[in-house]
Amino acid sequence: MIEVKDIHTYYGLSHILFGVSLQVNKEEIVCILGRNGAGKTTTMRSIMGLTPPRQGSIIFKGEDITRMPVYKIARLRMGFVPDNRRIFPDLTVGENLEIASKGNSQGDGWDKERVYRLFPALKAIDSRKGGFCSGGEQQMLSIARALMGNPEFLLLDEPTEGLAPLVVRELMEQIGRLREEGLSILMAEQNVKSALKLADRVYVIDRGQIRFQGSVTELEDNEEIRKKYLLV
Amino acid sequence: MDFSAILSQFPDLYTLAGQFFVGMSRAMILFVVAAGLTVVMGVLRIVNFTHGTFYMLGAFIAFSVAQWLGGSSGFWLALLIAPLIVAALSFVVESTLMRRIYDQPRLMQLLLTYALVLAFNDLIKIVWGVHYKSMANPIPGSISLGGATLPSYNLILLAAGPLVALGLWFFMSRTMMGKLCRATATDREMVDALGINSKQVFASVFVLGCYLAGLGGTLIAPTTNIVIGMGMGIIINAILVVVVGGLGNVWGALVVSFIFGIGESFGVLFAPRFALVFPFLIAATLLMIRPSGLMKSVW
Ligand SMILES: Nc1ncnc2c1ncn2[C@@H]1O[C@H](COP(=O)(O)OP(=O)(O)O)[C@@H](O)[C@H]1O
Ligand SMILES: [Mg+2]
Repeated sequence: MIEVKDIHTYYGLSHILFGVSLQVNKEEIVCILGRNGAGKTTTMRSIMGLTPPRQGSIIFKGEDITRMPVYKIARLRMGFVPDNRRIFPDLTVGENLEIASKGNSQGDGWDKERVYRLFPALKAIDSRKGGFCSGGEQQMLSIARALMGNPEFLLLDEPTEGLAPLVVRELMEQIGRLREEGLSILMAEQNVKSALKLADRVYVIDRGQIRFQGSVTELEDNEEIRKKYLLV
Repeated sequence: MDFSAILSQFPDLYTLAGQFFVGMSRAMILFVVAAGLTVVMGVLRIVNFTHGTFYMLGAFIAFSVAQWLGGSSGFWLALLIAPLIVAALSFVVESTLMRRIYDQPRLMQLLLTYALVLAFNDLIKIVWGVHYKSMANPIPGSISLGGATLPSYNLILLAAGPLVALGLWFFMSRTMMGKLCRATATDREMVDALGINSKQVFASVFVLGCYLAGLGGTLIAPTTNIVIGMGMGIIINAILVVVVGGLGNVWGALVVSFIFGIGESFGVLFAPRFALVFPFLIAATLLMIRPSGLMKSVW
């Protein structure tokens, strides 16, 4: 589905990613784990084209998207759920979803009704302004909004951050259901426990470099890596 | 103290009503122009001095269209097409120049928009000459409104404001493009990440804003001398309206335009020597009470 090859990404003069490579296959949930400031968000932004890498390449469904404009990458059916949710505060929940369907002309797949079936809590607040939604509601809305573009590949940046444990469990179930629907997902997390329940494979990132890659059981068996880079 | 002397100086009710309608008419023109500016500044986040230039172009183009057609129907056609011509021009300006400065520092934005003001001033001199133009009033005569006499043409102005306000409200709240505008105003990057080309949203907003500037210029054309300086005159007031009303807030622009228009026309009545500073006094006072604007600003 997507292959990130040896990318170097900068914010202005500061060099953040040092040759990150990773891969997500079809219908896979891959987790990228790492402490705060490790480079997870920067990896996500590089893939989405928001902070294009200066070196290396990103291949999505066989196409080189390394220097493509953001909106074109999105139209190749890549969905982006940023870490701070970035709901449009002046738009209602329903309007947040409506404008997201504009970005993708392929009419099949997700529409408002289907999204509300996955997140029934959103249906009840359809006419509420995005800015007045709770953290959990905003997170659901952010995912729902990304789905409206009928993505094949979803970038989920710390979806559980700041949510109550009960909400986290529910959210994880819903994300699991997305894989059953045929989506491939790259999820960044600090909340290792909940992430590992879902993940097919794991990458551990620290100071802009991939320090580990393997299956969930391999990570669970590797105490050194967990101690050194994840504090668990 | 001689009260009757003071009372005799006090304008009668008819004069007051007359001034009220004159003030409202001016407020409406100011609103049409400021509404365009507030949408542009709210979504694109640039301080756009060329807005006054597009207003002025609206007036000059309306003059030419009306002259070319002749007769009284000339103005009505001008009202239809002069703002559209202005919009087309603004599309060219946006796609060649403006879109290069959205991500530049504010000083560069000011430099470019101000340079464009000067360049267009010269262009207007070349096309229309240096002498002022004036246009025939399409509906001469006057009517009586609430006991006050008022030029009939002012009815057009009084109707234009509410129509534009209603149109903008409908556009912003009911159309897909309006929703995209509101989303782009708060988070452009996220709009792109949804597969929407925010550059196109910017271009559309700029053209819409300049259409309104051109419409304002067309509406004012029959009531005034059409001169090179008129763009600068309105842009200062329009920027004040936008800032005081809350950047990007159309309703804020409407309320503040009313306050300015009425304040100015009554100011002229009671303290004619200070009439020119009235908008500034009002703006300063309102900004002291609410520094971020009367209504919610998107900046
Ligand atoms: N806009 C920015 N400008 C400069 N440095 C940044 C910016 N955003 C993040 N960084 C730096 O990049 C590094 C990686 O950050 P990030 O990718 O956000 O980490 P994570 O998502 O894993 O917490 C951090 O050291 C952070 O300070
Ligand atoms: Mg992060």
